[in-house]
Amino acid sequence: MTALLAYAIALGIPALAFYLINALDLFKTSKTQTVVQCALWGALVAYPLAALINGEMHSLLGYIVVVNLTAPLVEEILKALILLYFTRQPSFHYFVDGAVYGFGVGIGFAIIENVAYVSATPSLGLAITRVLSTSLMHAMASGIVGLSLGRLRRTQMRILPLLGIGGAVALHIIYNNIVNMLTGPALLIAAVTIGVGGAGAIALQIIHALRREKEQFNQTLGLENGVSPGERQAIQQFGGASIEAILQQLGKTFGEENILLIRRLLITEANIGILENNLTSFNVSQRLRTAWESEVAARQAESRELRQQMGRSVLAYLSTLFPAQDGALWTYLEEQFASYDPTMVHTFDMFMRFTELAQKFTPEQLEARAERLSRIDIFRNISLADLENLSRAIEVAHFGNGEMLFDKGDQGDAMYLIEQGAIDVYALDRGHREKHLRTFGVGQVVGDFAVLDGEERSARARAQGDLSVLVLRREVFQMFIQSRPQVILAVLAVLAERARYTTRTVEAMIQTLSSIAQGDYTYAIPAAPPAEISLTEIPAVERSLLERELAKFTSRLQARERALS
Amino acid sequence: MITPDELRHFTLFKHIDSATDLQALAQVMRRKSFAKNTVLFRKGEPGDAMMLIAAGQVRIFMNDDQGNEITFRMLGAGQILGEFSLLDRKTRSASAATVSPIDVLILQRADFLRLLQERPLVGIELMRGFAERIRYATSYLERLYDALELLSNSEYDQAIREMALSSDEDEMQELITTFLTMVHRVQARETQSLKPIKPPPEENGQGDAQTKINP
Repeated sequence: MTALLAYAIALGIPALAFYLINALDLFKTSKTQTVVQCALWGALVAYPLAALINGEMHSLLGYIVVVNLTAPLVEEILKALILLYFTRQPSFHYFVDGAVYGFGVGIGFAIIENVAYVSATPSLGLAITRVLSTSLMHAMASGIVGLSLGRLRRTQMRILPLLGIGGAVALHIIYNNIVNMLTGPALLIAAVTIGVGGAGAIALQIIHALRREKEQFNQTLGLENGVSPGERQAIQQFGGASIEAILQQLGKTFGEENILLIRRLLITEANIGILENNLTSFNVSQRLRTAWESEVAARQAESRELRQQMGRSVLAYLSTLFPAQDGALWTYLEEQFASYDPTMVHTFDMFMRFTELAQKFTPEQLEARAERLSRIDIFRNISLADLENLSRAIEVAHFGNGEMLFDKGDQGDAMYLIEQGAIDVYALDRGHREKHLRTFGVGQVVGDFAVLDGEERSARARAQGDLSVLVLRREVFQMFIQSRPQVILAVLAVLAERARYTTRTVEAMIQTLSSIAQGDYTYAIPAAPPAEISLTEIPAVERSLLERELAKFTSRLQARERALS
Repeated sequence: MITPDELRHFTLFKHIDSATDLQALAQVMRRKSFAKNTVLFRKGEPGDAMMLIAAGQVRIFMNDDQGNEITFRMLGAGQILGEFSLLDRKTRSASAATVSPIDVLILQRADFLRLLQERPLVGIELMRGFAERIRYATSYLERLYDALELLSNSEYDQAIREMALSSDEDEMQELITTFLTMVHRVQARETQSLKPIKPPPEENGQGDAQTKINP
């Protein structure tokens, strides 16, 4: 019975430790399969080989020398061989994985060694002592080796593996010597202390290594060494080469799939920061405030979801690199993301913060403007909260009578909403004479498509009387929508409807024209007027206008033909 | 497997020049084949997918009061079906059926929305594609308007000059060709007559003009 219990403890406790390492999933980047392979190596290859060599050494050098000197050396080297192999695989990402693989080898080795000892002397005390001490020592010693090999992947310190194996051998030798000198409770205390000490050493190593990495990243980011604002500006102008460099480095550590998650997490966190800043620094209507708050909540949920997908080691690593309380770092990251990958990040809101353009509007003014914008056809599906946010970037401009707003052929860089006065639109004939096309009045919009496509202006626009307009610049609008898919979709829906309308008009015209060609005039005059959508792009052509023109032409044509026959 | 290069042939996507964006778009699309004479969708059905024709021909038709099918458009490789319904969520405005065996690339609305969340730039570039298309069609309709005005005043040559251009877009080209054919036929009818051309009667407003027409 005692023997059975002794076996159970000798086998069970290390097996439990092994299970816990995997179950806690503390190190998501390490593969369970690899940990198992390491344990099997420790149990089935390293231990038998060590027993063989130790036996030979025993007959050559005697018990004391073997136990106190050669056995630790032989065992640590044999256990390290598999680590040398795995830490050189391309799938090996992260130095902490090295420690986990090391634990695996050590525990595998200790389990078989425990069984060997217990089968020689089936005592419960021996089993407990070994489990608490020798097993721990084996795991820690190999852990140190794995950690040092893992760190070698990220630094140029070629001496690291030697230090690792040296440290493991030293720990093992010290342990064996002390265990041989002591007996009873003193032995147990010493053994446990060494085991726990080994664990502590590993923890310190990990912390140290993380700190080193953080320093490296900070150097890449240019945050340390007293970078001046000017220098920082210069780094930014390189278009975010440094953040890209960081992500690439992280890619080596965690693999591409984790990098996608990290990138999304950083962007989500950046947007939360930007929106929270909006909430504290801008005086806006309750509607916009609520919209911002609910977006913060949605993004926080998104962030939690991303964190769940990532695994704790990646997260622990990230929070060391990018601590949430490091405001300067986060502001910098926001800028970095915005400058090299502006999609997804609320660049518009950052722009509003820096330019202080929006500070001068009251919430009521913004609400009124949002209301005005919502009456523009291409904006009619966008939520009022979004339009109010966009309204913060609207500028007011005045033009004197006859003054030109834009000329035919100019790059379309803005749209104009008439507040007071009117805008005359002219086509230019071959002799560059102006031919008046249309006049737009208060409440109407001119050049709305410019904010969408930036195409050349198709006509010339001049002020009629004292003109006062609200101006929305194309670059501002583009900046606003690029991180807001819901706004893009709202505009796309209107555009699709309009494209449908023009396509139907063209089809109807083709049908009518071909029936006229055949002398059939029935189609030329529609039974019911078609649904009207006003095309505000200049100069406007509406289907009803076209049809009226067709009807006029056909009636004259028919009259002529009747007169002829 | 749909390649980004395949998508480049469709004018709606011509502004998407980032290879990764096209790749992402290709990834959310599915390829499907239909046999000859298959009805793809009917007028009035909800439209939640867009089809890009990779090969084969599709006809767009409607049913008249007697239930006869009237085909009014043919679409071939490189053309798109249902791009409006995908975005404005209106029901199909006409029916579509295959004329030959066809290969299509299908984009479902749900997949498109997901893509838009991850890659807003794709949406912005589609926006430009649509805006350009509207501008383009509008500019031709404007010319047509001017040309019709000239025709009303019997200024045939000037009207032809106004519309005599070419377009790389099939539909606009069809509009131009139809217009020119119409003018030539009408002109031929009038000049073939031996009687001298009398001036058109005085116009008494729109309503009056309509009552004169006797279909």
